[in-house]
Order: sequence, then C-alpha cells, then structure tokens
Amino acid sequence: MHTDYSILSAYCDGGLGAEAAVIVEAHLRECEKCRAEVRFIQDLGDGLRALPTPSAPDVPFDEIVPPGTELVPSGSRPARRWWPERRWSRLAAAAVALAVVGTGLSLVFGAGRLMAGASTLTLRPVGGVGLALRYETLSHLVSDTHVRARIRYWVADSLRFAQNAGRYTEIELSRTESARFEGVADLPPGTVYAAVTIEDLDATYVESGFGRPWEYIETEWFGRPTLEARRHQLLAALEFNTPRAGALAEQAASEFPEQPEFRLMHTAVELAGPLLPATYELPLPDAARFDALDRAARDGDPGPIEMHALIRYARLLERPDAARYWEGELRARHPRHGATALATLDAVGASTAPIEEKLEILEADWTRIGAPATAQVGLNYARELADPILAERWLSRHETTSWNRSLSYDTYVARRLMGVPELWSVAEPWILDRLAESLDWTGPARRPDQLRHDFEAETREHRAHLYRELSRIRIARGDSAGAIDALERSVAEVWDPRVFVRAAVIHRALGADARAAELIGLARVDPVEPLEPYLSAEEAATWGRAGEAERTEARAVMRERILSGLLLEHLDFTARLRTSAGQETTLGSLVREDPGVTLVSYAIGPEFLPAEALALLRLNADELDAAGVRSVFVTEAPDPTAAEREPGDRAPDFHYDPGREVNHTLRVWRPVQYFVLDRGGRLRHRGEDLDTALRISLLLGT
Amino acid sequence: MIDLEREKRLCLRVVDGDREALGELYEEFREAVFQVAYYVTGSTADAQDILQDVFMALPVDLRQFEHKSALETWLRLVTWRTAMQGVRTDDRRGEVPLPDDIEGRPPPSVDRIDLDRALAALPETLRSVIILKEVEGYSHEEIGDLLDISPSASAVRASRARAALRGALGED
Repeated sequence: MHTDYSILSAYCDGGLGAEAAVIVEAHLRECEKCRAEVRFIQDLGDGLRALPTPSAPDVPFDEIVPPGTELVPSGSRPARRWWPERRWSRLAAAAVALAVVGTGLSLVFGAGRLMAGASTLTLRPVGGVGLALRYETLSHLVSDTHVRARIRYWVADSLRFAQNAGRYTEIELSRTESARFEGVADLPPGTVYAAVTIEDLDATYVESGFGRPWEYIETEWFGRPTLEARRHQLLAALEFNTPRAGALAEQAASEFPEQPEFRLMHTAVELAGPLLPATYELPLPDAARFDALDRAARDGDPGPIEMHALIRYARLLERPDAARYWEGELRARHPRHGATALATLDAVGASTAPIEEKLEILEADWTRIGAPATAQVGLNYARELADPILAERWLSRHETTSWNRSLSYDTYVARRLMGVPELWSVAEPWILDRLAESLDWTGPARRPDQLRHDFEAETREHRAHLYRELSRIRIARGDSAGAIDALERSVAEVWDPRVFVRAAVIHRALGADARAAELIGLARVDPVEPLEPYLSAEEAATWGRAGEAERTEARAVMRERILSGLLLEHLDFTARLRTSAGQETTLGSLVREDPGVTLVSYAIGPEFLPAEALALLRLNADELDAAGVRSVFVTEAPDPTAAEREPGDRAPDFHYDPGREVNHTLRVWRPVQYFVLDRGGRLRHRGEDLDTALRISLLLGT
Repeated sequence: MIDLEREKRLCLRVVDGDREALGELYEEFREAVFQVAYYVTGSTADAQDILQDVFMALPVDLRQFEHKSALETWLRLVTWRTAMQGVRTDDRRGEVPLPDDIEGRPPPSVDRIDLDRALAALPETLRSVIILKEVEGYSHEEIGDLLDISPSASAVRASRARAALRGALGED
C-alpha cells in the first residue's frame, strides 16, 4: 500500500500537519517506491528552479510603448482635490516660518514663451486661522493669467511617496501680485514636504517638481512636531543651513530625549559650526541657496529634472558658468530626456534669433527627443509666423504627443488658431476632428472628481464653441448654408442668445424668415439682462414685435430647454463656513435663512471673481430680488478687504470656507464656479458660466 | 541594481506620465517581468504581449503601489495577475487527469530538456501553481491569494502538476 500521491506532494510542500507528517515519514522509512516518489518531487523542484527561461527579447522601449502613447489618460489623473477625513486642529501659535529650496519650475505656455522660475515659500502663523503661505517666484510665468499655483503637502507618516494612495492635500494659492501667490491653510501636524505646482486653469500639470529640490515645511503640533517631521526637517536643514540644523537638533533632543540621534547631531553640529545665533533669518538668500544646491548636486547624483532646475536657477541668478556647466552635464548624461528638451526651450526662449531659426533648433530637438513641450512651443512659433504648413506640422506633433489634451484644451488651441486668419485652413480640420471625437470622450477625458452631468455640460459648451468657430470659417468663404448648419448645431448644444441672434441674421439673409423670427423670439425672452450687445435696440426694431402667443411659446421652449435635465442633488448642510465678520455658520443656514432660490458664486479667492461677473450680477439684481433669488459669495481664502469695508460698499460680502467643506460639498473643480440651489436647498446646477446660472436661478425663482 | 530612492523617484515620475522614466523602469525590470510572463504562458510571444501590457498599464497601476515591498516583487505580482487574466480570458483551463499507471512505474529522472517540454505542455493553471510554488517559493496560502483560489485548491493543483510532469517525463 503506497501513500496517495497528493499526500506525498503535500508532504513535500510542508503542508501536512505534524501528526500526518510523522505517519508519512514512518511509511517512507519502509517504502522504497514512495521514497523514490518524494525524491522525484524534490528533484522536480530543483529541475524547475534550474530551468533556463528565455531572455526577454531585445525589444526597444519605443516598440513596447510607442512614442505618443497616452501614458496617463487625462481622465484618470489623480483627483485634483482631496481632503482628509479628519479635521485638523488649528496649529499652535508657535508655528513658524520655514525653509526653502530653490525650486525650478518650468512651463511652456502661451506664445512661445519659455517660463522659468525659482521660488520661495514662507509660512507665518495667523491668529485664529492657521498658517499663511506666501509663495514668491522669480519666474515671469506668473504674469500669465492662465496659470495658478498650489501647494501640495504630505504628512510625515506617508511622506511624498504616499501620493500613490492619494494621501496628500492641496491648497490653491491666490495670486496677489504678478509674482506672488498667497493662501492660508490649517496644515496638519508633522507636514514635512510640500511641492508647489504650477498648472493651467484646466488643472493640467505643467510641472510637478517631484524629488529634490523640494520645498520643506516645518509644522508643529502644540509645540511638538512628530518624530518623523523633526527628522526630515533636520535632514533638510543640514543640507541648506547648518546653524539652523544645530538649533533644531537641540530642540529635538529635548522633545525626544529617548532618541540619542538628536543629541549626537547637536554635538556634531556644535563641534563643526560657530556659536548659533539666537534667531535665524529664513529663507537663505538666493545666492546661498543656489550654492548649497549646486554643491549638493555636484557631490551627489542629480537626475535630469534636478539639473534642469539648477540651470534655470543659475540663469535667473545670472550665474552663466554654473548654467553652462549643468547644461553640459544634462545634455551629456540625458541627451534624450524631456528635461533636456526643456533646457533647449529655455535657451530658445531667451534667444533673440529670428523665429525661423528658433524653429530649426526645435526641429532638431524634436527629431531627437519628441517632447510634448517642444511641439507646443513649435506650434506657437508657427502661429506667430502665420505659416499654415508649419502650423499643421507642429499641430500634428502636438496632437500625437500631448497626453494632457482634453476637449477644453483643444478648444483653446482652436481659438488660438482662429486668432490668425491665415491659419483657418488648419483650424477647420482640427475643429472637425475635435467635434467628431468629442462625442466619444465620455471616458478618459472626464476627471475622476468631475460628475458625468458636469462633464457633459462642459462638453456641450465646448462643442457649441467649436461650431461657432466653424461657422465663422464658413461665412468667411461665403458658405452660408454651411455656416448656418454649424450655427444651428451650436444652437442645439447650448442655450445662448448670442448664437440665436447670429443664426437668425444668417437665416434671414438666406430667406428663412420663419426660423429667423423663431430664434430672435427665443433670444428676446431670455431673462438675463442685457441682450445688448448681441441685439441692439436698432437691430431689434428691424425684427418687429412678437405677439403674446409667440412670446408665450418662446418662454415655454426656453423653460423646457433650460430647466430640463437639471441636477437634483442633496447637499450636506453641515458644511461649515465663516461670515466675513468671523462668525461660524453652515451652508444650511445660507439656504434656509431665505426660502427662495440661492445662487452661490464660489471663488478660490475673492480676486478671482471677474469684475464682469459682479457687474452682471448687479445688473440683474432687481430681477433676482423679484424672483426671490439670494446671491451668496463664498471663497476659499479670507477676503483681505473685508475689514476695510465701508458701510454701503457694493463689493460682495464673501463667506469664507476655511476647511473647504463647502467646496467639497458642492464639488467645486474650477477657480470660479456658480451653483444654484432650489427652494428645498437641493443643488440644481453647477457650472462656470454665470449667465447660465442666472438664467436657471431666475426661472426656478419665478 | 536600482536603489530605493531612485526607484521611488522613477515611480513618481511614471505616475505623472513621464515616458523617459517608464523607459528606465522597462530597462531595469523587463527581464523579471518577461520571466514571470513566460512562466505563466509558456510562450515567448504571449510573454512579450504581457510585457507590453504590464508596462503600458504601469503609469496607472503604480498609483496602487505603496512601496511596502521592493518594486520588483510588486511588479512580478502584477505580471502574474496580468498574465493569469489572459489565461482566464482564453479559457484554456483544463484539468489533466493523473496518468493512470502512475503507481506502476518508477519515477523518471528529471531531465532539463524534457522538463522544459513537459512544463510547456502543462495547462496554464497547473503551470502557474507549480512555478509559483517551486520557483518563486510562495506558500499555498499566498498562491491562493494570488490566483484567487483556495490554498487547498493550490495544493491539489501542485499535486496534479507534479503527477502530470511525472507522467510526461516518464513517457519518453
């Protein structure tokens, strides 16, 4: 009687219980055949382990991941906003300012400009609020209103790498001057790293600045940071400011007496350095910062992105020798890296050479590296030359290499092309392609934090815009029928009286008076004032007056179009807010204090709310009152002008959303957005267009 | 050998869509990924497809990676899962009967060339288990987690794989 093969197999795997194993072993002592089976099983294992596996075929990376492949679908980028579940308590008043590293921030944006910068991040405690962050950059990129800065920070136990799990938090910084962004935050204790990112308003990363050099933030928790925070703070200080490190080591040794490392470090620094001054001026001057970075990099093994940051910093500080040194290193060590392409773009941007020459340089770089940024800048130069052949070439490169494209960005590109009539021949196929594919863009192009409803509304807006641009091209070449077709499609996408009027004019020119009158009728019943300049009083007179029956019908069409398919979301009314006077309140109180409809204008900073929007709200103030609509302003940053208000001041009275709870509840995703809450406090609309929000408010209110 | 700090930096860049960084990871780990893919599929062509699938998906998949293990370990697991998905999709699972005369013959010698051939002839489900067990050194519990089967099913498959290999090797 032999032992079952599966039992021998389990025995060899060590999978039998002790008792069963003893029985099997007893049997094996007696049974030669089963011993042979066990030996076979063991030999089999040895044989399998000794088996050669074929080497991976020598397939170049370009074949595995072809150039131009969208590596990270734009819709699956990490959620832009994330807020930890637990509420962070306010930082102790002892929280202090902190240190800094020159961070090279790169951006290629706008008309062929190459942006570069080095930054300073400072923190100071603000009574009762948290920490005020000020981010100043030497870069001129911030003069571009299409970019914004945010601080992203990590808590100590997760460090920077925790971004994989989404355990980081972002703070939008408001632009206060051309080169300065500011914000206020309740930073959690033990925050040790922060990175500033510069992005365009579509939340597309332009530069993320991972790794060194990084900004470093010191935070404290009732006077005592976490152990990890202190360790990392010390490491950073040792790199850039030894006296500071000595003081920190001493402090840490008293806070964590059980950790001998701090005492040792303190002793070492004291032996090496001069007596420590009582206070320290932070941050270090730029020159000292640069020297520290430069030295650390030459002693270490900097990556291409770090080298590129050093080049930019050196240039900004007018240190051409250092800039040349690092440029040489970068080109020699990473000839095909994207950072090398950015270095070329830096040089080209600073050059006064004719655009044709610059394009030749980019052409060479494109052949070697194929970086998306090169394609974007190439397209901008081609646009400046108004050369359709070049524009088409660079546009095609941009189309195939940029993984951060979206319909929003593509519409922006279309508008830029439309700004140069010579390039309309390039713009037309671009627009048609975007319109064709936009219908399929319900997946990856949608940001993970964006609701499908919002995404579809946004897509319709962009499509409507593209159709309008298409109609301009067709009108210019005398194709009235094509133009009206495009305009009618735009009319079908979104409710926009401007387009109704434009379409009506063309319909009338083509003899389609009935449709023209219908469209004008729709434009006239639009509740948002003013209809001018889309339809001036003189023009309006030429259309005659519509009868009451027509007006009633037009209103019914309008109500149906505007109010159908609105949201119906229940909100968390407990989301906390502060009034401009500093009183705690909730989102619910805003809604319930007033039984009517609430129009919420939400801005990341008071200054982000456009003057035109305020003007439009003022213009429609009477209508809003009559319809029982309450207009409320909420901002993520406190309104610095609130205290200086004179009674009767017409500036909006901003509520402050310190914990971004309202932001989270309303699911804000743009710098300025408008929300309409109905009588029951349910969210019926969120969007970026005030006209639309006003229309919905007025129709829901009346 | 890639150091931990550089590995983390590369991961962050890849998550951010940096193609250059992905290329560096590819050069570093393609052998490991290919090896695992080959173990599962037994086919160079299929393994190459899986190699491509794994690296194409890496910028998104890496977001789940928390650096609790070495990147290579994690990549091998990801590759196993990717490869096994393909196997399941192909529905090539089949249970091989134990050779009926296993008790009648002495165990054959384990010859490398024959073993290679016999292994390639095993159904993927059995091959995966025996490779994970013998070559990769996982326990049946771990294999169960990896392949979404019970530990006892893993043990049974290992036994079947051994018996099938024994039978195949003994035929020559």
